[in-house]
Amino acid sequence: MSKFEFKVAWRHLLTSHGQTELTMGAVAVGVLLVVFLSSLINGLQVGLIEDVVGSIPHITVEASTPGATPLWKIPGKGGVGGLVVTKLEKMSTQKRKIRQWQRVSDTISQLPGVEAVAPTVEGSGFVSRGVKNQGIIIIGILPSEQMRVMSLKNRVLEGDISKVDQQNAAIGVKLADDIGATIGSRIRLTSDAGITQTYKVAAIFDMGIDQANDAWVYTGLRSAQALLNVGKDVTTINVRSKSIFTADKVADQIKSFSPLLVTSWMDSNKAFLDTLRSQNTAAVIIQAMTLLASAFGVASVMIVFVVQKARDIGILKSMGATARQIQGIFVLEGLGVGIGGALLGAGIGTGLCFLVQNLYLPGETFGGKPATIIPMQWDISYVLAASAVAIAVGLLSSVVPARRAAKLDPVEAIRRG
Amino acid sequence: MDNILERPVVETVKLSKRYGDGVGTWALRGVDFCARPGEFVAVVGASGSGKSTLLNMIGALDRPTSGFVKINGQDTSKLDDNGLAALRGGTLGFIFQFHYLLNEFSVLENALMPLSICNGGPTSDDVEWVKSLLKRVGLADRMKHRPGQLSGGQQQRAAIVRALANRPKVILADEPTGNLDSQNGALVFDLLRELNSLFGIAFLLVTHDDRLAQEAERIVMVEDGRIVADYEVARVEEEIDDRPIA
Repeated sequence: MSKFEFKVAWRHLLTSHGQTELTMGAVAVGVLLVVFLSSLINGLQVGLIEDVVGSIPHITVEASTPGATPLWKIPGKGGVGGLVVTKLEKMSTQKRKIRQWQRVSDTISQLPGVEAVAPTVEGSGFVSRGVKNQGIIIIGILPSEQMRVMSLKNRVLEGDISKVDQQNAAIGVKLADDIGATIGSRIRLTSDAGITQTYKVAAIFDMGIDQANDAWVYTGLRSAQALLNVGKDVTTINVRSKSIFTADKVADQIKSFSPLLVTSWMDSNKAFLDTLRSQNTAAVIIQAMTLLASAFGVASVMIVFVVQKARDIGILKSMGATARQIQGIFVLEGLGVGIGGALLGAGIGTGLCFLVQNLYLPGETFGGKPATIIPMQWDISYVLAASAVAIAVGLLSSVVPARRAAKLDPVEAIRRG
Repeated sequence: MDNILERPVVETVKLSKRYGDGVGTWALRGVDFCARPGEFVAVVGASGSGKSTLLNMIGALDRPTSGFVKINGQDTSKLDDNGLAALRGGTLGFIFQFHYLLNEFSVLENALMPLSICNGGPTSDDVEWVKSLLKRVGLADRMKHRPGQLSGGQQQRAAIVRALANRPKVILADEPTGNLDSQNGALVFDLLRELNSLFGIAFLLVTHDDRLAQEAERIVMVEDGRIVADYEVARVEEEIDDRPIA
């Protein structure tokens, strides 16, 4: 394409008496809607996922519970039937220990899809404060590592969870209420192993799940290991995948080399995931429709434009312009409209996202921060994707009008134009 | 050896054009015509006689039903669309009844347009050449104006310069003065004659105006798709002068 096509296309766009602005507007509205809807839906989904998954790790790795052990077998005739007497293990409330957990943890942390790994030890027990006693789950953590795996900080209502160690514990908001504990209160934990230890309440959290708020108590890892009498072992390795939606793939990778019980949040939240997928599909359809509407808008204005410029096309042809050059002019115009509309839509859409993102509910907080009215999640990838599609739409929408222009008979074009 | 000046720059052989399917309408019926370099030919005839069709065929804007056109010795029927476009851009220049300048461009840009189309952009020599033409036609102070800012006569003069920009061998003018008042029409016609004698370009001018046609070197009369008369004006004048006074 030569300078001539660019020059004519540019001048046409500049002197179109509002048609350029109209078509760019159509494209811009498409891009704006895609950017805004994507940010809105993603924001809502991230909020939902945060509510559902924020209080649990993406993947948990535990020692699997053994099945029933056969004690005595009487084979049947021809291998059919027979009798098996099994030993039924007593149900245990304590989790099994992971052997050589540090090696397992190191291997997992080296997997490409893994962002962070944190060991925990878990077991049941009860908490006492004054005359009040309540059953709990004791969770021993390394706070700095656990915070990389789960968004614990956002869940803290009072105190500082990073202080959790051999003397300090974090408890759920409901448990705190039930036993009348506040920051600095002393509580006594007794494990099922019969070991008791006293802690100071360093943080009170709200996980958004009643069970966690009612029963979870975080202490330091070493302290919990002593309390649960598991030596230096752990019961669980918590894993955070780089993307929340790749947790199942990472879980499969871990399963491929480890006999341990690996569960991703996606396994235990299938119905929720299906809802998210349906929501995504609906969003994609709406966005595709929007861009399609923009494409028709661009195409129809371009066709009118070609009709209006018929005489000019005839004159250009009489001066030696080829069909290819004429087609090039109108394709460039479509491209120009696409680029202009994409820039405009991306700019306004991004501005709108940030504007809405900064609208706060007066007096309300979430995770220690002001609560937003609409949780937007803007991402440059939406802008780039929507812009790329819009430019392609502008380009493709101009192909048919451009071909019509190229095929115009110069004599007819000059006479009728 | 063939004298290059005597070789026709435009030649049509049994040129016919039918519009419409089936029986259709014959706009040209076996026209044989030629024009030599530097000739100034007026094509006259009634409306619908086929003179504009003849001009479009010669200008490679339309393809004949039968017969062929040779421009500067090149048979246009053997050229594809790109070849015809190159011929229009390199050898031919068009002037229409209306100026048909592109409103988005200045007078100078309009005049340079054929060079932008065919040569990938005008050189500095081209720009100087076109500027000198614009000066010659009295548009020195209107080069940066848009066509809408010019009078009808000025617009047509700019269109004439545009037709000359590519240094064509033939200029095809379809009623170039038809949209102008008699004074401006005469000025434009004089300009065409002057450029014809100055650059030695062949001019084929379709006109309704018999008075202007009489100023041409040669008149070709078209009627019902055929050339019914083809004569040189100077000879007619001589014949008239030679007639004995009664």
